Amino acid sequence: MPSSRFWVIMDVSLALVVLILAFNLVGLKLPSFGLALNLLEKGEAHCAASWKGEVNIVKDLDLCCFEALQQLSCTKMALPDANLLGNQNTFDWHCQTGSGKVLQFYLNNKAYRYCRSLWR
Amino acid sequence: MNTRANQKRTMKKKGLPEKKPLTHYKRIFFILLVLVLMLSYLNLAKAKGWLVPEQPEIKISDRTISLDSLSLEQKIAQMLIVHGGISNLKAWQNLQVGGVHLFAMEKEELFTETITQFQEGRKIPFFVTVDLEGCLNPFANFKEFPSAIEITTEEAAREKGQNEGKYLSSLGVTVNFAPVADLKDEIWKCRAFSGDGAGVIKATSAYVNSLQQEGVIATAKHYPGKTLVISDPHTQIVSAEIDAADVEPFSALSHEAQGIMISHIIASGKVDSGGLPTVTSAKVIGALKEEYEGLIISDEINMLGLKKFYPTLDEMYVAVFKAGNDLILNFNDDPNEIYRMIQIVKKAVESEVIREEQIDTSVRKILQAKGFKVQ
Repeated sequence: MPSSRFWVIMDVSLALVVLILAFNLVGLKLPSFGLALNLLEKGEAHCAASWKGEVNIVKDLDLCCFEALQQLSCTKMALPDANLLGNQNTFDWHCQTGSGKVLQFYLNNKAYRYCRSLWR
Repeated sequence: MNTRANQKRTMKKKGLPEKKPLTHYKRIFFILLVLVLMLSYLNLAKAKGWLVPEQPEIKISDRTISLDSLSLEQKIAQMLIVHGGISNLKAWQNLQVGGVHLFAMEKEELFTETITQFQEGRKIPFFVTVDLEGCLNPFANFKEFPSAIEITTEEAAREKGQNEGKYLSSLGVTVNFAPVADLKDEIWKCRAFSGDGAGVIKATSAYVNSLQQEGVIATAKHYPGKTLVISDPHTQIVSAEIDAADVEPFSALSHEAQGIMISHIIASGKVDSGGLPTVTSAKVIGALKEEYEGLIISDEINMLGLKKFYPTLDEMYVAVFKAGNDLILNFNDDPNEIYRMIQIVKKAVESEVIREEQIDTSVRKILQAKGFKVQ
């Protein structure tokens, strides 16, 4: 038979869930988990576009997000690629549609999390 | 207490197991559990857009629509193009938005299935839009097209327009946000046609005409030019000095392209947006409307260059409508936010911040572009 302590813990947990659900329902915007992680993460967000092997940093992050998120898939790279643009920028995500002559996008974790929060 | 003791005794006599009363904590637990279940359902309904109210049915006879038969909400909704994610199918149908924009998909069949599902039973069909332009290709997983930068002759541009138009038409896509008519692409390096001003005009014109001959609306972008230039990474706001040469491709296409997309840049020089992003400049859009009768389409509005300019989203929503855009791109995936946007613009019209005649003119253009006669 569960102790009364067990029920107290359950009640407090459920009360928290009720609060979060109620906030969400009335439209009180809490920062998404991705955005929160993005804010906590140190360093700059980087997004780059690659056309026929030529990689360029896109300084307008929103613009880069806008195109990257329209791609078929964004996959986590097995090893962060530090060699695309020299050691100052590493990328963790690769977004693309097909493998033909199309633009491809590279983002670091901070940029990727930020992009994911844009249209939500 | 006596009653409870009596009950215990009776149950013992009858051989029944003793019923223990619910503790205070248990009662709270069950109340909270019911609350969690109810709120979860309501949140799910909200996320799926089930709480967005359905608009009244539209009366159409003999391909003719009377503008008076549309509510103000229906008119405003017709001016919106949203992200056509299939999870929001019902919400976008209920809201009767003007168009759905499709992102990349894995297979050709997924495009046709998605478009069929969206258009099913629609009295006013959605505009189905894509970005098949420059070196962007949402079909690249199964279909290749040459990039704009690789096109070096007018004939090649014509052929590109024809091939893409035929393909888009066969899928059910009705609007392509192409071609890029900016003279240079300093960011992506592959989205604008190659060549000098005259070359870009010839290529974009050939592309527009052949695409539209296949029944797909072309959109010259991004007015007034110099949009694909490096922005200030700190403010995300792009300012550009516009030359006569930047505007020439758009002037040349103004009698050909059925759509022109307006950028977020703050323009000065030949086109002066008066310190505002071009997409919210009534001065620029008003002047453009004097020489151009087609659809004026905003670039996607959730970009920082535009968002940072306005203290609140509500003010930005009103500004893009008030400036005179006919179609507004908002890819926010939350149907409730799109519904909220409609309500904000509706209030602005009711309080005469935005003129209803302006909304009517835009909706008339949209419905005519969809093949209806409008009364």
